[in-house]
Amino acid sequence: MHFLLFFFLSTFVSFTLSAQPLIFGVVPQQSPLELVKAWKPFTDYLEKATGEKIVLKIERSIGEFEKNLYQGNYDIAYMNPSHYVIAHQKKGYVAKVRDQKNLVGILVVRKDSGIANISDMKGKQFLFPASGAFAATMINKYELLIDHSINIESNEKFRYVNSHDSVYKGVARGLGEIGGGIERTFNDLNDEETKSSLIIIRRTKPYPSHPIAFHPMLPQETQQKITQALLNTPDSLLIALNMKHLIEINHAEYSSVQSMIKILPKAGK
Amino acid sequence: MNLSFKYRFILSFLAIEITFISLIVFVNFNALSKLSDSLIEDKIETGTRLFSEMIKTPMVVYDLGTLDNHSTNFTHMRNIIAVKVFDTQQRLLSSSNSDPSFNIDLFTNAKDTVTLEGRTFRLQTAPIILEGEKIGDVKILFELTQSLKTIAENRKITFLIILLEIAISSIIAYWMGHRLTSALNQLTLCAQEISDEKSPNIPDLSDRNDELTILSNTLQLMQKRIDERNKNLTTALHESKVLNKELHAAKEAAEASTRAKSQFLASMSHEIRTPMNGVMGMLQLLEYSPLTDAQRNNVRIAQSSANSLLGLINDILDFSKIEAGKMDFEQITFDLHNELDAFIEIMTLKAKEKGLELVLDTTQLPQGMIISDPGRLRQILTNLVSNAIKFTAKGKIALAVALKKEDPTHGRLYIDVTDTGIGIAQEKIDSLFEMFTQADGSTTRQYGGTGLGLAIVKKLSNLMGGTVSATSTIKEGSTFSVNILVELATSSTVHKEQEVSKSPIIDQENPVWPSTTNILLVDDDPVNKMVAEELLKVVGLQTHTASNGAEALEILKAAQSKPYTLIFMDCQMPVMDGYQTTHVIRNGEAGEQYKNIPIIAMTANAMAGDREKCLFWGMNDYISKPIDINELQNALKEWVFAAKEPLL
Repeated sequence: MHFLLFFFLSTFVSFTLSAQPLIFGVVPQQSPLELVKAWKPFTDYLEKATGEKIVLKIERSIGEFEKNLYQGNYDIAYMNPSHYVIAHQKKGYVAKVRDQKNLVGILVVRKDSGIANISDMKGKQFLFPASGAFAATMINKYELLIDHSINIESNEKFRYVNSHDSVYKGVARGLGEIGGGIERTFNDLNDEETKSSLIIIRRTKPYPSHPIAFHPMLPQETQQKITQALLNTPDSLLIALNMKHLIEINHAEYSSVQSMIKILPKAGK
Repeated sequence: MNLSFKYRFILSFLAIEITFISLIVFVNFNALSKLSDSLIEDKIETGTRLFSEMIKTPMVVYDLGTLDNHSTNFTHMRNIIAVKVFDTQQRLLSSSNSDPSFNIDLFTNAKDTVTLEGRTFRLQTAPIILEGEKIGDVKILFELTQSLKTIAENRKITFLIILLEIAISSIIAYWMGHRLTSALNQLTLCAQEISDEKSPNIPDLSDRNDELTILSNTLQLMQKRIDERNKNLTTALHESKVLNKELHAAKEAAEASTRAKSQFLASMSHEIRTPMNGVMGMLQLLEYSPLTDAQRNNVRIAQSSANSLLGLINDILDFSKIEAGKMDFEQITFDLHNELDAFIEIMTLKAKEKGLELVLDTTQLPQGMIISDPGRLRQILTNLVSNAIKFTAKGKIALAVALKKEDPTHGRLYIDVTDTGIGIAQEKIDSLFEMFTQADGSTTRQYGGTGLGLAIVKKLSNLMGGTVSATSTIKEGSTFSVNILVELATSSTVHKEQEVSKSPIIDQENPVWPSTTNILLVDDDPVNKMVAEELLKVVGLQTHTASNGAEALEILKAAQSKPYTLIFMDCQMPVMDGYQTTHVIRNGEAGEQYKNIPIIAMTANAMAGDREKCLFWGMNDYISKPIDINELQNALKEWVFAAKEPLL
């Protein structure tokens, strides 16, 4: 079902390109249907606010999104910080706006697992949602490596289980012993049995959340116009996007992410 | 079992109904049950496979979120209570339960269904296989309650419908059976009444418009036809009775006519003979009177004519008798040789008158004793030989008689009469034996005769079991052949009668009668009385006469001094006839001495049986009229002298 909708949408999008609309790419971290439902009102608002023709483009997978992004196919894109760092590097995308809240990664274990300290984590089975999951996977790996010299990538057992929920469930059901996630998804987990059996044993430092970046070829006045519209977005429209309030930012905010990419070479690929 | 048609109809109807419905239900339920079983199995199978397919991908990557979503969604489906997914290490990956009151772990993995709290479940387990490699297991708890309930309800409704159907069809069958049998009973009653020859009102069933209508109509038609037939039969019976009556009347009339004919023949015979008796008697008497030669010749011619006339009358009477079926034949034992000798003697005289030679050939007749009717035989011979003499001018006539034995008791007599006469044309021979036919019409004028002779010969020989035939050559002569069937007599059966047939007596001398001879002649006809009286006078006897029986009795009673010794008795007389008179005399009413007096019938009743009738009534002998004087003399000779002897 989802696939069918997706096909429909991508055909629609490719048609509208010829009319020189602006392509708004969104990283497909959730199912495409949910993303369309969440983002369509937002892009509709932008169209209205800017008078520009804006087309929402949601790829089949994150890999597909990365490919398009790194080829500079999007005029505007919403992506995670690591994508941005690479996209900036490759095509000169510039971050202009982001949600005011920061990203914090967490590590969860079963309450009865007996794991209390970081030192207990060695030799355990880790679960992460996906390799490119910025907070849940990348920040956690980065800080464990930097702060505790636990090199998961090289020395530990880990498995990507596709979603934050799966990470929590997997830990709760014993598929893994330590799971990487973020506070919001953990709090939002509606599986009480799972939730109550887990405990957060580590939080990362806060990192800037997902930016909305512009293609460098997009005219400045258009960028300006859109940025203004973004900043004026009513908060009610943002709830569906798990955002609180959009704020204006600059590229420098993502320098910490840039150094993280260098250390975690696999992360952006 | 003695069930009425109605109940047999209903019972068989119901039996068939129930049998087939049960069969249908059984087959249907069976099929339905199988179908529903397979549907349930299919459902389980499909559900299991669908779920297995859905969870393969999330299972591989341990995407438990997606897995849980699938599990939850799956258990939200109808009739799926719970699901559990395990990996190869039997770790629970996902579980979902739409009804927490049923714990999937309490169910064992069995193909059989489990009933719990009135609900029916089935636990299904299946391995999850990805590209030939097992990646885990799934346990699904299906609930079958609804499906089974639907089937059970379906079954219940079906049974209800069947019960209703049987009830309704029973009522209909009863109603139809009742209607049918009541109509049949009505018709049966009608048929019974018809067979009891009543005319019932057959019910009109035409509104039914079925076979019973046809039956009823047919019955009505049958009744109508029977009525018509009865009517016709009654009419026919009546007509047949009338016809029978008519037939009876016709038969009576015919019989009366036959009787009248016989009576007429008898009367004719009697009435003709009576005057002939007078004529011939007088001619005989005239002969005995002194006459000139010319007168004597005239008398002889008259006598000859009278004889011819008598012969003619006899022929006609005979023929009439044959035609009327009245001809009777006697069976008398006699010696044919004697008979033939006597016959030849008479015929030789006639032949000699014409200068013809008559030859008798009996070389083929070794035995002469036969039983037959000599009178008829003589009649045949007389006819043939007389004819031969009549039609032969010169030459000779040969009579050949032969007897050939056919079996121990019977023989065939062959008589051939050959002449050297005028002969008969070949084509006319066959018609010779027809009545009133002569070879040539002209012969009648030349030779006379009635033409009855040969016809009588043919009839007689046929009646005597034989045939006649003739061969002839014109101008050379003819041969007439007759054969008849006779009985062969043994010597012991020889009758005394042969002695009675005497040699012909011709003008013999009168004997000397005893002086006591006193004769009474009883006859009512004065001419006959006179003739007889005169003839007796010629014979040399005086007589007294009486005109009837009563008178005779008076005379007999009166003559006590010189009693009568012989009575000539006519038969048919007024006042008291001859039979009655004889009977009375024999009873002694005329006096004791007359009880055994010889009484000789002298009557014109010359029909067969007349002689026997006379003897039956007590007479001693019989002379037929016209009276032949020789015959009279012979009778007298016998009875006058016999009377002398004491009678037994």
